[in-house]
This record gives sequence, C-alpha cells and structure tokens, in this order.
Amino acid sequence: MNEVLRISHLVKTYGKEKRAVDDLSLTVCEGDIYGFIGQNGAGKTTTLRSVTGILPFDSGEVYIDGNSVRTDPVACKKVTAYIPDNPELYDFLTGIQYLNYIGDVFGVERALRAERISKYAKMFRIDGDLGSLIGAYSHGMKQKLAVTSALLHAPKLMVLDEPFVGLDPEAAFKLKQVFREMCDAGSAIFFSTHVLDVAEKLCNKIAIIKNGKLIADGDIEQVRGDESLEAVFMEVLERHEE
Amino acid sequence: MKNKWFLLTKIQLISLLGVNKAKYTTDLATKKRMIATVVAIVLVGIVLIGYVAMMAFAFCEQGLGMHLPATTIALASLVTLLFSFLNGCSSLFAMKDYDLVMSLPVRKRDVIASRLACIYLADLAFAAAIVIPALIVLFAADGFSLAALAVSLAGMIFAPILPIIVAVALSALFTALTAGFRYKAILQGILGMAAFIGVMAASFSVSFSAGSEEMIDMNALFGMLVGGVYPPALLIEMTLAGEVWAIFVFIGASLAVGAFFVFVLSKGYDRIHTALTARGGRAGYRAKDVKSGSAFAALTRKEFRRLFTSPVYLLNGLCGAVLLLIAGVALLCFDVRSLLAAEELPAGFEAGMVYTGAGLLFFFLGTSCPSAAALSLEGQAKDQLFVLPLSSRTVLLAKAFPTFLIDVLAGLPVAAIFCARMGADAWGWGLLLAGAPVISAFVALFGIWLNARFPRYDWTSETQVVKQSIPMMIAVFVSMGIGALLSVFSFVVGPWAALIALCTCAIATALLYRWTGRAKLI
Repeated sequence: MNEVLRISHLVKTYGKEKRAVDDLSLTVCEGDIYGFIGQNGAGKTTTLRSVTGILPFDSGEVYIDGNSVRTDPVACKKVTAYIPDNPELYDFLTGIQYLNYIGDVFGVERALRAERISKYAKMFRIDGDLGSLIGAYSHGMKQKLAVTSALLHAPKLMVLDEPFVGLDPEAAFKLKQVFREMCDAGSAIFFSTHVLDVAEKLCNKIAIIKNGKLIADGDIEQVRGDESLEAVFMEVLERHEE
Repeated sequence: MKNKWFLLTKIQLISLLGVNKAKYTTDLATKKRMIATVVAIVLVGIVLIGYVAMMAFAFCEQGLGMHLPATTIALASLVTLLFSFLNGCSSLFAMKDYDLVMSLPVRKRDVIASRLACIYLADLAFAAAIVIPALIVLFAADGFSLAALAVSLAGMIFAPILPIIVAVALSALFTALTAGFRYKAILQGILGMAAFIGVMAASFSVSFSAGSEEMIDMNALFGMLVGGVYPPALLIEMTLAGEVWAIFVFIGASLAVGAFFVFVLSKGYDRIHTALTARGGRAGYRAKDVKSGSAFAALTRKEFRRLFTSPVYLLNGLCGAVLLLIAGVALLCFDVRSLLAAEELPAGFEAGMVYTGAGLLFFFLGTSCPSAAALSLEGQAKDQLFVLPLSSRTVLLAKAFPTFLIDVLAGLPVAAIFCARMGADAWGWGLLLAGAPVISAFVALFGIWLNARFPRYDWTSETQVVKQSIPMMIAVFVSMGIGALLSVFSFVVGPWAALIALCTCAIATALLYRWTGRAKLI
C-alpha cells in the first residue's frame, strides 16, 4: 500500500522543557482510517498541527504523498484537508462565500465544485443555511461547513481533530460514511478522538499517545487483541505510568 | 467581597498589551514581542512629550503661558474624542468574553463601567503625556503655581470622561440604529466617519471665523480657540482666572454625565448586543452563487469583506484616505495660491509649497494602513489560512492589496488636484503622479511587513489589533513622521528632496516585495 503520511521521529517542544511530542513515528497508508487517541494534553493536537504544516516542529520529518512538509509545504497542503476541533471560520462570510473561497484556493473547477457543494451540503443538511452568515451558525453547523469545505478538493489525506464533537448523530453517521468512501477511493484519514467506541468501529489502525510518546500503534486487531479498546487503552496507560 | 467592577476591570487590564501572557509564557518570542510593544509605546510617548514641550515653550515665549493648561486639556480631550469615535463600540459590544462576563453574577452597569474604565485609563495616560510636560515647561518659564498645578491635574484626571462618553454614546446610538440592517458594519462605518469629520470640521472652523480684532488680541483669540475646539476647557481657563467654582462644575459635569450614561446604557445593554449579534433567519443558496476565480482574487475578496464588515477596522483603515480626499476637495474650493499671494510671504514660499505635496501624501496615506492589522485579524482562524496551499507571497500581497487600492484611489486624484491648484511644473506633476502609487505600495507592504513581524492572534477585541497594536502604531507614526519631514525638506530644498525620497521609497517597496517571497508566517 502506498504511504500517504509518514511521520518520522517528530519532536516538538514548547519553551525549554515541555516536550509535547517526543520522537513520534508512524505511517498512514492509502485506505487507512487511522485513529489517534490519548489523554488530554498528550500531544495529539500538536502532532496534527505539525503534520498539516501549521506548527513548526523542532526535529524529525513529515512526508505527505512523498513531499516534505518542511521543504515543500504548499505541495503537501494541496493534497491535505485539516479540520480542527473548534473550527474558527470567518463570521463575516456566508457559508457559500466561504466554500467559494476554499474552492478558489484549491483550484476546484466550478462545475465540480457545484456538484460537491450540493452533495455534501445536502448530506449534512446545511444547504438551507449556506446563504446565512457563518457568525449565525451553531458550533455543529460550523463543523459541518468545515467538513464540506474540506471535501471540495477530494484530498488525499484528511486530518481531523475530534471530528465528532458537536456533530448530531445523523451527521456523525454520514461523516463515517464519507470516510469509508474516501478510503475506498484511495485516500486516508488520520484523526484524533476521545470516543473510543467510534475509533474501535471505524478505524483499521490505531495509535495511542501519552506524554508525547507513542506507546502503542498498529492494526486495531493487533493492538486490541481480544479485549475492548477501552480496556486496552486503560491498561496501556497504566503500564506507562511514570 | 471585592467590588466586582474592580475585578472585571483588573482582568481586562492584565490582558492589555499582552502583559500577563508575556509574564507567564515560556515562549521567548512572546516575551520579546511584549518588550518591543513597551519600547514602541515609550518611543511614541517620547515623541509626543517632545512635541508638547516644544509647543509649550513657544506658548511661554509668546507670553501665552497662562493658556497652556486649558489648551492642553482641550487638545487632549479633542484627540480622545476623535480616537473614541474611531474606536466605535468595539470595546463595549464586540468583546469576545461577552458571554462569559454576562453569565457571571455581576450587574450590567459594572460590566459597562469596567469596559469604559479601560478606555479611560488609556486616554488618561495620553492626557498625562500632554498636560504634564506642558506644566513642567510652564513652571520652568513662569515659576511654580500651586493653583495651575492643582487645576491642571484635576482637569487632566476628569478631562477624558466627557469625550469618551460623547463618542461612545454616539457610537452606541449608531450601533443601535443599524443593528437590524444586513450591511450594518458599512452603515456604522459611514455614520462614524461622518461624525468624525463633523467634529473635526466644527473644531477647526473657529480658525476661519477669527476676525482681525481677535487676531490682534492673542488672549482673546486663545480663549476663542479653546472654547471653539472644546468648550468645557473654558472652565479651566475660568478657574485659573479666579472663578474657582468653574473647576467643580467641570468635575461634577464629567462625573454626572459618565454616571448617567452608564445607568442609561445598562438598561438596554444586552438588548443592543443581542440585536447586533442576531443574524436573522436561514438563507439557502442558488446555483449561480457558486463562483470560481483565482486564489489571489478569492483572498483579496475576503480581505475586502473583512474590512467592510468591521466598523472599527473600516474607520481606522479609511480615515487617512478620507481626510486626504477632504483636503483635495478643500483645495478645489479654496484658491490657495490667491490666499498665499495676498499675504506678505517671503520670496520662494509659494514655489516651495508646491513641492510639499509628496510629504503631504505620505502623511495622510500612511494613516490609512489596514494591512498593519490584516494578519492579526485572522485571530484564531489563522490555522484555516495557514493550512491552505498558498505561498507566503500570495497571502501577504492579498492582505496588502486593499491598503494599496484605497490609498492609490485617494492619492492619485488629490495629487492631480494639488498640482493643478498649486501651479506645479512638470517636475511637480511627475513627482506626485508617480509618487502616489509608489507611496501607496510602500505603505501597504510596510504595514503587512510590520504585522508579520509583530503578529497578535489572541485578541479579544478588534480594537486591540486595529488601534493598540505595535504594527499599527509604528506604521502610522513612521509614515506621519516621514511625511512631515519630507514636506519640510521639500519646501526648503525643492523637488530633489521629494525625488530622492520617492526613489528610496520605491527601492524599499521592491525589497519588501522580495521579502514576501521568503517570509515565514508560522
């Protein structure tokens, strides 16, 4: 399977002492739905932001579709979509203006753009709100708009930070469907979550991070074994308690 | 139990200028930025104090020292009034912590008073930078006077209250009136600009109404000037003339108006805020709303929308350009050359005036620099920008473009009017018509360069980045300084000064453009 994302010995330190990410390495291949789990403050968001080129990191390398995020960030970003846990979109734009803006930046041709906007806006039931200002949207609506915008350019890699927080059950179900469709088409999903049930049912690969270090990773069947992911997660955390 | 007003004010003050963040952060860049902010403020303060001291010295030399207290208080109050207009309501209604604060067990008037207290303290610092140096010069020249000290200090402490209340009340009124409109930000910007121009016109019209008798009697003239510019300052004059009751009227009126405003606003504060933030019903989209264009066009369109949906950003971004256009209209309406010819001016004065145009352009266009806040205004949405496949050049040029366009659209016609009305020769025409776009490009790129050097994304009110940020302060003051110096040098030396300055400007612009390709935004 072709690699879509390769993180190699990633290190990110805040200040002089706090190592938020400590020598982390993992690989996400085409077709993977890769779950990234850990406690609060474990380093998940720092890892995701470093991967997407938003946060400069101290050492290590990140490659997306063969391009280095350090040396060729624009090429990496062209094939990536990132949805943060709390999408801060532009309150002063309407939903459709925001989608046009993202579509223009990614060079999505008009007809294709219209088709995808129609498809995903209807899927997430925000088509009736795209003419309103984003400032009037609820958190969940902003999340849905962010997801719709991320799908406009059919990214090779989708990176999401807690994507299911704030989504209604129907939207969460639809999002999982979208993930599966994307992976069937050769893309990859890399997302962090606290909801272990979702990770268990959706992901084919899992990584567990604690205090910036990867303490478990691999196929979900290998990591979980015969137990539930929750039980394994608690056990692994205890084993690595300092 | 601590007074809640004090607690609310304290929280805002420790976040002012990023002081608390710099104190507790382990990020060296943040600490350095804090130090740079303090240095910038100190430098601006030194320049202001120097200017005030020179003015005070001139007053004392002319035997007008007794007018200094009232004049400085009038000046400080007028500037407070104008800056508060430009600030608009963003410190009262657009704070990001509104939901949090209003959910606490605090009275609305405490919330309003705490917001106003922060504005007051900033304006008091400004008033002190004007009044105290003038007092020192006055005492050095004319001897110490306890009365002058007491009245000046009392006037200084209470002077900012009335202008703040008037400006904020008007802004609140405009906000309330426009709350139900779709394009409320533009309407608020237009109303605010109209009020700003109206106040300036009213304040300075007194100089055109002075007759020849008043011009001879300087004391009477200054009394008229002070009263015309800021009438309450006359009470300071009256106190120093022996009518002690006047200072108590000044203090009492300031406090009464302030308290009344807080009381009245507290009755409708949450309703106004709700009306401001309510965006109406659902609205879908149509197929024709799906449009495509280039990434650069999309970015610049977004920047213009940002500018025109934020009253405080719009007002501050356009004020220099609007003032320049007003100056151009004034040039069209008044025959300056005839006025100059009627006066007994030294030979070469009129010719010298012709070449000051470049400096004047710089002075005004430099104060219209929205690019100095464009990056910071991304706020917490910055990740959404930095994750996009865009080069730094594309991002930075898109953010600088609105400034360039606004400045060049104002600068070119005014340059042409200036040349036509001042009888410029070919040199003059060439310099100004070429100079307007060069200066506009420089101002735009200089602003965005400053913002990239000193970004601030953790603001809670747009005012913090639009008016109180290092990039904006440096951009405005440097441009004004260059403009003033260039005007003086051009007047004295002739067109060569303007030519050298514009060539230097063009080179600097080219270097800044080159920098946009190498800049690191994260």
